[in-house]
Amino acid sequence: MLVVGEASYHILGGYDRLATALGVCLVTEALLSWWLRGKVANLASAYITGISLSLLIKPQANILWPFALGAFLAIASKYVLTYRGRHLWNPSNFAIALLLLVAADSVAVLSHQWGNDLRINLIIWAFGLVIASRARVLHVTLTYVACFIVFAVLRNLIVGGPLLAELAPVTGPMYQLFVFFMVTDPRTTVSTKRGRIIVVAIVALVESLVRLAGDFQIPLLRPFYVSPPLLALAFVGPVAMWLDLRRTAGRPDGRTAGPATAPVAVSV
Amino acid sequence: MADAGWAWGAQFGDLNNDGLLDLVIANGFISGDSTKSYWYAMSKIAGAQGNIFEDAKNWPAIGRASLSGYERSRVLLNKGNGEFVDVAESAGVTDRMDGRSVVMVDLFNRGMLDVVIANEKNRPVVYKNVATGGHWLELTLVGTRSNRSAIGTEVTVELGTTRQRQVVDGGSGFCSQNDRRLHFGLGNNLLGAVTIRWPSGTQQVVNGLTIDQLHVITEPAR
Repeated sequence: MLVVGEASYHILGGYDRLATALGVCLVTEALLSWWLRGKVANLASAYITGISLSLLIKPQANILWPFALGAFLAIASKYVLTYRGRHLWNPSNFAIALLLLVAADSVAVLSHQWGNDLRINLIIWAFGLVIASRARVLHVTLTYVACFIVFAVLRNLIVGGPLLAELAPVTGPMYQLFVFFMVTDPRTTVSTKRGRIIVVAIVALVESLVRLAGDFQIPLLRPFYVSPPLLALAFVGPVAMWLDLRRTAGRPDGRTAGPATAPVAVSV
Repeated sequence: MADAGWAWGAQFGDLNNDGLLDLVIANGFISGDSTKSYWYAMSKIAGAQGNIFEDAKNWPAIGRASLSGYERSRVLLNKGNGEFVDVAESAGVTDRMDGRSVVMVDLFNRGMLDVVIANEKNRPVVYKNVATGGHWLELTLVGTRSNRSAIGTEVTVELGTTRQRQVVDGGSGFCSQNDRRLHFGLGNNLLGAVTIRWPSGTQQVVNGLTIDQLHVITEPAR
């Protein structure tokens, strides 16, 4: 689909971007798993990470290094940034957040796809809802969207201007990947349904605070408002995971990994 | 070249007469209050669903904020190996006005292209070119059977082993039109044949033109 999408709509910005992100993800996963765990891991997760990076990273023209570096950082984070044997960050989220913080002049995130056309948006949202539902993470998606809308209304009351300006971000293509496939990642969400709902609400709250910082132009937080949702998740997600792993560590059955048993659990 | 700022008008021309086309890019969009940026406010709607983005009533008010304001223009010198280097600062192109259109013209008839930039809500700026070196050739074309301004005429100049082609145009870039005289930087190359293809279809080949001169060439009768 990506190959056809690139040929028809230039959705990636070049096959070299896809090849770089996918290639580095797969090679890094294979080498690190073989080196650190003694056998080559299943590469499906690295494949999905590579695809998500090639879709989400939109760098300055003619540079490929963000895809290579992002892919390496994403996969390496799974092996280095761990607690009790579990990685704390969603790999794509970690890599993109880090790139945005240290190389904002060269790297941006996806803002346009398929012409941001309403019909295409509706199709993607429909597929996303079905997939999230089958993966048993629909409550995460719906909680986030509901919180986003509530906080958007509150922000609008504070900063004024058109309400649609506050609601608009969630209609964009980056959010489609974020709400259906990133914030719902079974490997990096907490173990209980209630916990996941609370965590994703906090992500939306932090995102909203960052957005207010953007509206009031607080210089200290300027690096964060290049992509408030991705950076909010990058800060809230691992703290929640760490607390959850710590809380469940003493239990005889250990930590139950939330919705990870779902047959179509996918993440970016 | 990808990092050229907001980038409005731009023109190619041989600024140092080395036989390679250089590029000047006028820059800056809205220079308002330098302490207030519209960038974040715009980002809220820039990635939104198309119908929302397309309707300006959904945009946050810009007020007195800046958006890509106070950007400097770019003067990109052609290195001849596929690379351009920005020499704006050293060339003295340092204004921070909101540039819109840019033209290149030999204002002082020295065989050297000068640069004029028109700015939004501000005075225009003339940058007099003080580069040295390199030979040149300028052509004023007068149409007879074609239009008198010779707009649309293609001129190909042989420079040693290479060729350079320019067209007399009626407008190039944003709200701008270069001097209708064509300017060719020759570097240290030998000038060969000059082939002129007039809009009427007539092809004229001129040999032996003296370099470092302006030549007036009239379209031949049928």
